[in-house]
Amino acid sequence: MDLILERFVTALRQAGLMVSTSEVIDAFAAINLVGYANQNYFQNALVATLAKSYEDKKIVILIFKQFFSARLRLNAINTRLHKQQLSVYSQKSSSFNSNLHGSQVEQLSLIFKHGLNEKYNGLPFHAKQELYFSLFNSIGESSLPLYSTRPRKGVMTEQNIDALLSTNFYNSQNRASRECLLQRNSHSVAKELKLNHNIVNVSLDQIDEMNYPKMLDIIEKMTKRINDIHSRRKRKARKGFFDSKKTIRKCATFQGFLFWPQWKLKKINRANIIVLCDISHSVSWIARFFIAFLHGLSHEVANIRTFVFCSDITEVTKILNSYPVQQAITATLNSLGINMFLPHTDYGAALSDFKKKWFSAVSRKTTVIILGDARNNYFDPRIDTFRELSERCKRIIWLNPEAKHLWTLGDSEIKRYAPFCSVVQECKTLNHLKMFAGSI
Amino acid sequence: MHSDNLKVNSIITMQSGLRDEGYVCSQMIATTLYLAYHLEKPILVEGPAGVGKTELAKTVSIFLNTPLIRLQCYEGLDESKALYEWKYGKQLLYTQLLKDKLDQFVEKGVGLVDSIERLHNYDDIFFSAAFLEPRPLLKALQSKEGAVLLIDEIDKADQEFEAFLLEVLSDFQVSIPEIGTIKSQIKPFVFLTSNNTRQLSEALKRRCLYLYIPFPDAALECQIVRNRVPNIPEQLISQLVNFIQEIRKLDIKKRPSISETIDWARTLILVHAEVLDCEFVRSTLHIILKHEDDIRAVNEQLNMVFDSSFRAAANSD
Repeated sequence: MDLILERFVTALRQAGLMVSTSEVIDAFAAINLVGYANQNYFQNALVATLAKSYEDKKIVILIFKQFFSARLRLNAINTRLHKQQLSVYSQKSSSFNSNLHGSQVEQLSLIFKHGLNEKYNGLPFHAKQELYFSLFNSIGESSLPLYSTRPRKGVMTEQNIDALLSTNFYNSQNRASRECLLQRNSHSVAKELKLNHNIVNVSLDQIDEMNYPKMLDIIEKMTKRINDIHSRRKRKARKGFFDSKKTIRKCATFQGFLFWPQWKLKKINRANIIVLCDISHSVSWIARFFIAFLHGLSHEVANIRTFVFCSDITEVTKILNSYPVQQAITATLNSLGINMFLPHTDYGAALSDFKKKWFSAVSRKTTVIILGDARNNYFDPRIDTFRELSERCKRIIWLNPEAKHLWTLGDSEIKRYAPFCSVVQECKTLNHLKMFAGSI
Repeated sequence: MHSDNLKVNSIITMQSGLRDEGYVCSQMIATTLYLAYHLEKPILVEGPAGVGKTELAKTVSIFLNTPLIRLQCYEGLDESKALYEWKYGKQLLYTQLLKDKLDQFVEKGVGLVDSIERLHNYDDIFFSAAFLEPRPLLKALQSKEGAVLLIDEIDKADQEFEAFLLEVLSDFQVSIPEIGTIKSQIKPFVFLTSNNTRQLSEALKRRCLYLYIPFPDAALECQIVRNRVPNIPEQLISQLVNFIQEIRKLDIKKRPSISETIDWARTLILVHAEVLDCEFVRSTLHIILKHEDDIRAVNEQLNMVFDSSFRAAANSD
């Protein structure tokens, strides 16, 4: 059992959970106390010792289910198999080709037995598995309980595992293959979870729509952490350091008694930010995450006014502040309730519009952030207006979701806008967003 | 902690013991408490506000018949408020009272150097245990009958305070520069609670067992209400719990916690309600919801929520 627990811990580490040696020792001590008989106690003991946060707890429970539940069912299945007398194989001929008749399960059992013992013994384990799966398909999936749901990225469902374990291929004699299957599956789950842990480095255009809520969750946690750091800085700034000269001056009226200590206060202001966000189709895949990110930062870190444009520009600050983030994103990206016309992107027209209506909002203390690929469809980029904007504001940060090597290709005007920007950087992943937040 | 305490000889006895003291808990909570008691490790309890984190520590202290020592954390909390402080007044008083004695003693010395050296032999007298005012942490460590130490809302304290706590949590000892290291005679049962408003340091988390208390499911919440609010009609429990469960699914700023459910149940008893109706719920929403925006949002969807909760109650029956 110690070995199995060690493998379980390995699977957790592969999933990105940082399990230290002391926690493993605690886990062993906990298991010694509660024992293995009761699955709930066993699971709870592992969660209590190995998880250190709510997210860790979810990972431990998921890996636990994948890792241990198949083993527990396997014991039950093995007991059943031993009781049943499967004599069908000894009655059939050993020739492979002539056995493609009779019931499907019998056929498969024959294929497995035949493949394992005679023709395919020399093949490595994974090759054998692939062969069997392709055989399933050739026989016809619908008639089989085995591959009813195609596993994604190598992760097998509980049904798959159950079904495979109940075939003679994974009978009690074939312990090594069984262990291998269970290990492989938990590693696949762990790999998928590790992908989730490394999701901050995944390009945002590779995120499926079904993962959007998860991504927004991650962004919310990131912004919470950034808000934490910023609010701690502000607290430190409020406390400050003792200013002896100022104290002496202030306390001159008290005849030298240091009655009224003065502090050196480093004022940390909330940044004034104006965001211009391109919501055309080419950029919308990142715009949603960017808007969610800014939405989170607006609580502590910055005063943010958000504008979206395609050819026209309009302010959406009120929508973002009034609605929950998901609704706000949808409304903004679908330009619901916003009077906009969405043909082709025209940065020049958008800048001119901005100049006409909102230039007064830009001051020496304002940071302007532009999210867009600068693809102007060969319209006039209005560099003069952009220059005026750069002279008026504190700085301009341009976040380009395209890869750098594409910036000079086609109708991209980024090279013409770049001289007026303080920073032009690629922004495709959550990590890029986080680094950008640090620079606000 | 006494490892031979018969009350804590199994998870089931722990769970039933807590229930007898009025705290209905899940198996997860009982298991973690059992492990923490026997492994002598602190527990870090996280969860939304109002789920019973502080209440758990209080109930455990009653169950184990040990005193509860509470340290409420806040920004700016430091050693002098958490660990110890010198009794400055007593020190000054004693020096004044013993002034004559000191004069006699110093006069025996030949010259200034000799007098100072004589004083050096006794300079620790006024910085000894007799002049130490113990604060919650030191009290918990020095308690002769053991203690349940509740460090409440640790996420409100500074990182510096967290670093200071590490020695207490790992070795149950503290280092006082003037006196030395003070080890605990009986290790206290330590609870740390957190609302997760900020990230705690890894070093702190590693020293604790972890317990997350979520909002309870309908069955557990019914048991809690039944336990805390006796004489409430069974039908009413089911209706109000299902209603609260539906409210929690809505997109509101603060979801109602167990304490609000219990308060609401007590209100229903006071007004002798036997069933929930829409108008009554509308007039008492402020008991379960704490933001005006949330009350407005729920009011708008009240009929729909009511229907879903009744359906859920019917299905569970």
